[in-house]
Amino acid sequence: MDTNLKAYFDGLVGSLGKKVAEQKTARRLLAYETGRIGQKLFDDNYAHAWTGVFVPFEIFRAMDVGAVFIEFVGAMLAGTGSSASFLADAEGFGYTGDGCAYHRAMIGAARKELLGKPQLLIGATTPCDGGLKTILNVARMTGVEPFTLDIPYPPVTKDKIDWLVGQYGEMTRYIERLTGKKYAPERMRESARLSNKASAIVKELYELCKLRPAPITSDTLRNFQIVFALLMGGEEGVDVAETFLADTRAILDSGAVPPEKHRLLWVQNRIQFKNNIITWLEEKYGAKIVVDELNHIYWDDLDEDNPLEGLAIRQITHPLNGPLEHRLAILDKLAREYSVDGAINPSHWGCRQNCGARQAMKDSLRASGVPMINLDVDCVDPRNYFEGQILTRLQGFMEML
Amino acid sequence: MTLEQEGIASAGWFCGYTPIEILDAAGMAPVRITGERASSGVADSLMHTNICPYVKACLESAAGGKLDFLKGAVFTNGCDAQRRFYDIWRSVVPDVPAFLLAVPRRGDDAGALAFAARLAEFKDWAEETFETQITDDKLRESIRAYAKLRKALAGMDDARESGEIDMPGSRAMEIYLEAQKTPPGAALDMLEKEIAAAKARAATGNAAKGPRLLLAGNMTDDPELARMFESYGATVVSDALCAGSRFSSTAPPDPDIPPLKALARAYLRKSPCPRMVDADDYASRLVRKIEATKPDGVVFHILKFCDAHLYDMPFIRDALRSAGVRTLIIEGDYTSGSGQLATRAQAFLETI
Repeated sequence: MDTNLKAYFDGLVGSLGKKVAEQKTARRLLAYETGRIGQKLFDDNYAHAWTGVFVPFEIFRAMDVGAVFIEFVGAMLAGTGSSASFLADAEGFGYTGDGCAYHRAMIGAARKELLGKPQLLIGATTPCDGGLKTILNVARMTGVEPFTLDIPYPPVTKDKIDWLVGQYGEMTRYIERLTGKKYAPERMRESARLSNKASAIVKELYELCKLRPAPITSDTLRNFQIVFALLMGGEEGVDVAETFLADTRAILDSGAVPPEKHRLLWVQNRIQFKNNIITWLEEKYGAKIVVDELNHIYWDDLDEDNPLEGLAIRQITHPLNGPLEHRLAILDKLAREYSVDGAINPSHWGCRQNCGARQAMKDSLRASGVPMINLDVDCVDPRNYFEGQILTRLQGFMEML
Repeated sequence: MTLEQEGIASAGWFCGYTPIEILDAAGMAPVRITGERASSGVADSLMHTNICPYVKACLESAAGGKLDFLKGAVFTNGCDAQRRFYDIWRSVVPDVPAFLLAVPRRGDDAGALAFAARLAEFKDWAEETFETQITDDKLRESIRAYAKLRKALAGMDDARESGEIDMPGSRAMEIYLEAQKTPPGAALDMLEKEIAAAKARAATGNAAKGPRLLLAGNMTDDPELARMFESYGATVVSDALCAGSRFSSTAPPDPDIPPLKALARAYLRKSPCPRMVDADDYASRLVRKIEATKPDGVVFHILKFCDAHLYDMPFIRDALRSAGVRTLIIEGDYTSGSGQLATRAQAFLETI
């Protein structure tokens, strides 16, 4: 893992490709497509971009840019049990241990040249300070010119849309200049069409999850939309969405819906390294995560004739952009629509925008009759993870439910 | 007497990118809020322990009712901690109206245009909240007053650095803080008297001759920090602090363009907070300042959990090393020093 990520992605895609050919299941297909995204970082047919987490991937898709957001790298390293050495490397270099481990792992990975060298680095001022700083610091380390999207805060106004659309224009010219790839409006239109198509299917999928019991397990949609965003604007995105919907419908039709006693909402990101929390919740308490906060299509369809404007509105109205009130309203809406009994916020250490909001989120959900527990977990760094303590706290929470 | 005791209507502000001229033009005394040094734990219960200690210290004051005298409070999106502070403020101090000013990160013409639009919203909020009308004439008057104050503060800094006046860094920090908590006219009067006294002290030739230090960092607003170094014989001759020389670095807004546009442009081009630039840009400006000031050492004091600063520190540290500057890097928690800090300070001064 330390030295040859290309081989890792090739191996992943090779083995999953065979399995997908044998039997196409949703999680398998998502993992396969995720591996293919990783492969593109080493594929000369694509320009290679490392980006912020909430940027318009449809534009990259329309320009043959293979892109991953930097937190994806941290999550992947944690998921494969190899984040600790990259975190330690970044800390040895002087990176603060109090910062976000997604970002620290990325710095370690860049220092060890795990992902090669990107051609493009595209950050954004939202959702957090650390993400953009990491992009800019990677730019310094690799010598790659960065581009920053300055995202205005809601409410949406015409001048904000115009400003952001103007920045998308600058971004496409930046991509053209650095990679030779061309922005073509007709390809962007197609990317918007496919994005809309995938979004519509995912909305249907989410509707099924509102059923009681939900025809999913706690892990069916783990990290789903945040990774799925990388596929938006392509046929793969539509394929993945259709497969998830078909699998979920099949479970419903078969009558083999996983049982549930308690329905839970998971706030922000999952814990990325191997742990037993989800299994323990399911087995001991019959608790099921029926919705993740970030699994939510909050935007309207993109206008295929004017897709950049729709992307700008989507980016401005992202629940994690700007003041908290919009996010609180979305959490409340999700809690109601999915009929959840409680919510879990891992309170990822180092995530200021989430940790600073955790009491406000707790108060807001409590006012709606939904208790929330704040855990104190670093979702990427397993070195200080003591599962016993977490389970003890969760035990108290579940018994209260 | 405080402004509150004098019955002067005040509006609070926190971030150096708040164009306080708009508050002044609305008839408010713009007061930069500094926080409680001692924590009762209230702020920890409202936010996580890993949030900026300055923000939590201010929250502590707010929760304790000590900021109830404000007629309004202005926040910016300068950092994650501050925008979360804005969110929590509204439940903790619901009777003090709050405004969140979104400051663009880019300082070019497009950024200035976008910022001017946000400033128009800020002006509307101020007019409605403070029940007044902010005319262009009033705004220009406030712009002139603050430009004069900033020029005088920058002049004080130059005179300190050259030795023309004898003013300890700790006193300069106090003056800067007072200037940011007082209406500009009164602040200027205070400043002129201080400079005259410092000139007279310089004439005696008894100025301290110890190692010359530059104090850099973020919202380091505690004169006790400088005083500690001074107590060991050092002289803090210059600073690169948010509540220090960065405040006076805003150039006079262009009088020939509409005032909000002029303010937008001037603020986005002031000496930048690390949120606004990358590590190299920040470090190269700091190195230029060091070359101009020629200190014997740099004390870099950063409040904990400040991602904008801390993410850049390895690169800033390397830049300072390359420039051959002796540097002490301290992560602070917004309390007034400790035995450990004193030991580090003494050890650092011994290397100079």
